[in-house]
Amino acid sequence: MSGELFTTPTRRFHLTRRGKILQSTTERYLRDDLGYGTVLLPTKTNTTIAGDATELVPRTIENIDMLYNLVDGGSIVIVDTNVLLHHMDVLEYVRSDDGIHNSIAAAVVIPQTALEECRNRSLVMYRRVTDLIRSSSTGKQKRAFVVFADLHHVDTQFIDEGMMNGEDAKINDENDARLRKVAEYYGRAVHNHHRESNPGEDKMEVVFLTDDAASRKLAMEEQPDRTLYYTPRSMREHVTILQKEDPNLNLLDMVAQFNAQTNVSQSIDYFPPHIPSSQLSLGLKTNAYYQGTFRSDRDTYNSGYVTVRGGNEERVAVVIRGDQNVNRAVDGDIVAIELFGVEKWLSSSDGKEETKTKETTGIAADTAEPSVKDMDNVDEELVDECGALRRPTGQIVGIIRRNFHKNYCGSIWSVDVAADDSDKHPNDIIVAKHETEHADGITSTVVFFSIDPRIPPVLLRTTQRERLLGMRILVSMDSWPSDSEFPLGHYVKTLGVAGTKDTETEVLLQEFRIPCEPFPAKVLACLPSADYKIELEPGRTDLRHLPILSIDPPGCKDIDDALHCIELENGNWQVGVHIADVTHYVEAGSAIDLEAANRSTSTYLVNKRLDMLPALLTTDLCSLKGNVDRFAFSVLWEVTPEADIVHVEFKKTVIHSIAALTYQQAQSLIDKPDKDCKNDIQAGAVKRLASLARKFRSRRINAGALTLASPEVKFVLDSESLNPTDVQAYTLYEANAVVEEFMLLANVTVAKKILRHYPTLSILRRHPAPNRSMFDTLIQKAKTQGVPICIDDSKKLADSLDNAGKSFSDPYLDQLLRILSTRCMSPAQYFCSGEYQARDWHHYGLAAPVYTHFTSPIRRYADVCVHRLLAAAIGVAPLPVFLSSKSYLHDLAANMNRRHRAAQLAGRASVQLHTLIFFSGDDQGEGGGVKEEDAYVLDVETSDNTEPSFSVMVPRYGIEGRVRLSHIATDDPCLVRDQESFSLYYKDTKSGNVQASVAVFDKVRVRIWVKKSRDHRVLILDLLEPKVLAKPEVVSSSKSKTKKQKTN
Amino acid sequence: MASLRRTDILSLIHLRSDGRRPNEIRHMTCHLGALPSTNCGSALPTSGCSGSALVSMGLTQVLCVVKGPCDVGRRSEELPDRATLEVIVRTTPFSPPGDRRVANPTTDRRLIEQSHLLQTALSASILLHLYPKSKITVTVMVLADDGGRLEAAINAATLALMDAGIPLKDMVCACSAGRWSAGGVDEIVVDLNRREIQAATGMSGGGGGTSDTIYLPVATMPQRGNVVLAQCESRLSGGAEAFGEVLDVAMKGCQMVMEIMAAAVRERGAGVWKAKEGKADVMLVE
Repeated sequence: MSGELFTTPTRRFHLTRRGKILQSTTERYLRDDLGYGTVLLPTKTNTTIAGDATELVPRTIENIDMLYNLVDGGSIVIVDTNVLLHHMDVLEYVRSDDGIHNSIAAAVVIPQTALEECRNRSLVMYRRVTDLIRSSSTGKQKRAFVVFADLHHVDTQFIDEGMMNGEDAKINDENDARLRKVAEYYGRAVHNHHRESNPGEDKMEVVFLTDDAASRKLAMEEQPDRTLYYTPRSMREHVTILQKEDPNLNLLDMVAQFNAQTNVSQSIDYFPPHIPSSQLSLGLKTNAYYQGTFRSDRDTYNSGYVTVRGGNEERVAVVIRGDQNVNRAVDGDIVAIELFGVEKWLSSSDGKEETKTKETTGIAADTAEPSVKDMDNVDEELVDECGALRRPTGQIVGIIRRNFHKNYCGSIWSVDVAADDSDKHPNDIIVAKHETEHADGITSTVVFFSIDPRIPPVLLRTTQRERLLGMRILVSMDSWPSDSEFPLGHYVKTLGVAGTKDTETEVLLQEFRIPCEPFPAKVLACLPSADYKIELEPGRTDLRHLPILSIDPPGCKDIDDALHCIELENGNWQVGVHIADVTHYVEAGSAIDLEAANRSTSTYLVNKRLDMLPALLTTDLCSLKGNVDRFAFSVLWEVTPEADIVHVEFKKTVIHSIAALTYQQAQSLIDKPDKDCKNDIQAGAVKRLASLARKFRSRRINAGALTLASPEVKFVLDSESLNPTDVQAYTLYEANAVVEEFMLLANVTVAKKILRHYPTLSILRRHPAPNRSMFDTLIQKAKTQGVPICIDDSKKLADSLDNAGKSFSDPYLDQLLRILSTRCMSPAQYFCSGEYQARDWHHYGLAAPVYTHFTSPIRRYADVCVHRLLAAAIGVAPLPVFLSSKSYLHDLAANMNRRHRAAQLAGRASVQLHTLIFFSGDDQGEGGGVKEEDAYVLDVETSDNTEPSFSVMVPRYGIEGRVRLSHIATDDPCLVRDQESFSLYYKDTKSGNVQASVAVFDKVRVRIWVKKSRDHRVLILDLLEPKVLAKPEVVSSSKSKTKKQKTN
Repeated sequence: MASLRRTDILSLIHLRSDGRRPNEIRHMTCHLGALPSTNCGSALPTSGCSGSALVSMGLTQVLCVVKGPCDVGRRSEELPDRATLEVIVRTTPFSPPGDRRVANPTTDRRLIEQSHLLQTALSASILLHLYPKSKITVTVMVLADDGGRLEAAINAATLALMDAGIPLKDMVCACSAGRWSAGGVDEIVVDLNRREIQAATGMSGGGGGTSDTIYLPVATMPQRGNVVLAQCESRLSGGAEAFGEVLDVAMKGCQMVMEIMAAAVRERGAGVWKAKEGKADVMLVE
């Protein structure tokens, strides 16, 4: 034991539930061996193939000389809690070229008091701080983060006897006093050392950074003997001084802002004030206010909803509308709301209409947005006294916890001076009002607009306005005082030039929060070494003699499933589904496992793939490639040729795949005439699989499984530039259906197995039955075509879709109807079986009572969990402890659902981006550019006094969008809107005969092109046929073009 | 994900929540002869007390009183070849902050379990065969509990037995160790306090769910190197190797405890020697 220990008991009082006061006492040891704080130094532990594994070892700065060595001529900065909470971007900043002042200071001292307070206030920021402390010591950066355990240090421990009850103000004051004591300790040490050793030279600067003016004032007063041991400064003051020394330091942009106007006299309050926290907590207890998380509506920041708990424990979504009612809350904030009286509530009809129109043109969606009800399991409507359903409304009175720790992507709006008044974008007005130069001559305020429409514009103070124009930047919000119309924020990072493919890809990864950093060394250290060989180990069944083959899309690198089918001696067939044994390499609870659990899924973009597991596993060790031995988790069935299952077995195996087929190759084997493949093992197996699959499929369809369709297309990319050169539809072979069928079978079989062993701990996947109201419009639309749709259960829906398909003359309409009905359903979700009742486990789309994901462990974490559950169920490995914790499984499932959705959205956004690139024809005429194509009408705007328009789907490119007929006046007498039949008529002025009409499911012809305006691009659809309704100039330009082509 | 967070037992700079380093035991004080020895049948409440010790490990404080060897009293308890060892563990009404109140000390399972453990640990060391047909009563009073009351009770009992002059093979010293592993990082600490035990056994719900945790009180006879008690209630997933590591740390803790206890015994011995020389009163040894 080095250093003497002293002990001081710390007493705290708390009130028990019964109203008694309990005193709890904890020990606090004071040490004299803590020196001047502790830095983390890396030490090599062992070397693996992935690189050196280093461990961070704390090292105490024992004496003042060590401190001087560490600082090496720079300055010491002591930070307080607010700096940690709000100025992390400044602390993290390091300029790339090496100079002395390449960051905020040579040494940043983080007192334990500040660190712990930061942890209590925001776990997100705490993690950023600890990551920074860890990372700063591993790099070659010349700055150190020193953690100073002031609570345990003999010279700085500080006990205020006055602090006996938990008043906020007092605790804050005490913490500030502690921090000043730390600053004084460092200041005094430097001062004394300076006086003794080298009085002539410059003294090392000790700065205490705090944005609290009162604390700064106290710091000046408190310091004894009129000697200034340390200098208290605000962040902005400090950075301004640094910036004067080194003009290339772009730190000033990153300093968080808290006051809107510099001159207070002019301030106008735009918003009602927030209620202080002490009154809020009282109000929450007395049910005057309710607490909940504010969620913005999808396309605007000034309306949204808050989910609160009602009196009888049911949860209700309360609608908040308008700037004043939202009162500066931002999506994700935890807020306190006050409910309006019932007379102000919305009746169920008037809410829905406003959310209906989505204006942007883009690629078509797959499924419906998960409804509020499904996402949070809340009610949207309440019954009022009259018995009618009403949606409660309210206003936000205070903010309990801000969600300001995210970075937002977007750009600074550049005002187009040339544009005339009529063409002015609403953003121009905002910009004109808020862009100002500051008095200091170097900074100016600019307006930032996020890509995410749920985020309000943010006011930034920057020194580099010119450089940021036309760039995509990351911005973080700091505060929103009531005298500012918009929140204040600071610049974080530039991503790149707006509109370029790489930047925009980066932007969408940021936007959907897809983890895209390379795997940390800790994760890579879990991988097996380079000379690792797969060998048969005890407990594994050797299946290397079986003719196993895999069927995947061409170019597939992460093959996670393989199949085989052989004839047994008794005439039955043995079918095997072999899934990559990922859990063999990913040990439960290891760093690689935690990383995979966090990522939860691989994300597939058009031009790149972001893996859940490191590449060595994804594309090599786990991938069931042809002609190599691989570990697998196999499901083996014995079936009769009539597809009746006799027996099932689950085994950990070693397999040797004889061929990695593409769908096309497999299809050609299926199509081979029987007599040609007597001795062909592959063809025989594939044919048997196909015949079984047909039988399984028909059985499934009879049970009510839906055949749904997706409007997805794929891009043909240029091999070098990766620019899209063509768009193709996915070709679906029968072979696709064969593989899908066996994967479904394996998933269902495994789901049943794990559920039998772990009825409350299984990770399953459910698909809720669709909401009737979502289907209403589709049923009406189908009626105009004389097609009835019945949605009572999945079987009836499947049947009515089949019948409808037969009655259509145009084969695409069948598919269109399926796409539209898919969109009326909510997406499937992962859940822990203990959380729902058995009847809610149902998978509607597949008509299966239980379903799970087992077959793609390389790219989905749910499958990894299911593998572990199955291994435990068959007794080959014990169940990891944490998989038996229900709360952990709940969080896991929630995270998997969130990541899954984000990955889908990011994938779609990537397609959208490539669609824009394709149609803007940037790629030197490689097949892109303006196109003319057939389209199908999905919906017609039939309400009065609106711009005549309708939305269409272009099947060739998978695009969906609105066609505007802006040249026809809204009150044109010739225009007739028919709400019943979803159609528009254009009558001849004289005769009254119908010249042209557009109705739902009609086929029209459109031109697709990209309108570029300033730094953003929009996809535009213009009508070509029917000509009467089309814009005259569009039709004429189209003619001239075709003529030109002919003459050429 | 919230539940992937583990409770921080060691801070970034490897200090525990109370400021100790992983290998440091709490501040420990021992006081032999805390109560005056009296003869049986005296009017004092400590009647029949032949030795006593007050031990505090951190904020945990335990008083132990040894009676005997004396007459068994009841024939049925009498053993022909050795002495009967009776161990009683009691808590004071004010001692367990936050812990549930002991309704009936004679039926409380936790106390009975601890007295059994204590009995096993002590009977490994006491030369019971020297006192056939007699009885030694060890009464332990937990005055304050901040974690580790079993360890403190064992240490106090050893010292009280020595104070009573009952022959032992070796001192029985107890100390605990705990281990957290999550995300490939192992942390082993010695002599856990209440907060750490709660984190280890998941009693406070602080997130014991995801990490493998062990809380292991150990009693040893350090000079012989024997382990006389090791109690582990948590699920052990790291295998024998992991258990061995924790046991090693705990045994090192016992060694440290032994040094402190030995010093206390020597001090007491010096006091007795002085008293014999007529320089001081034995009863007033502080």
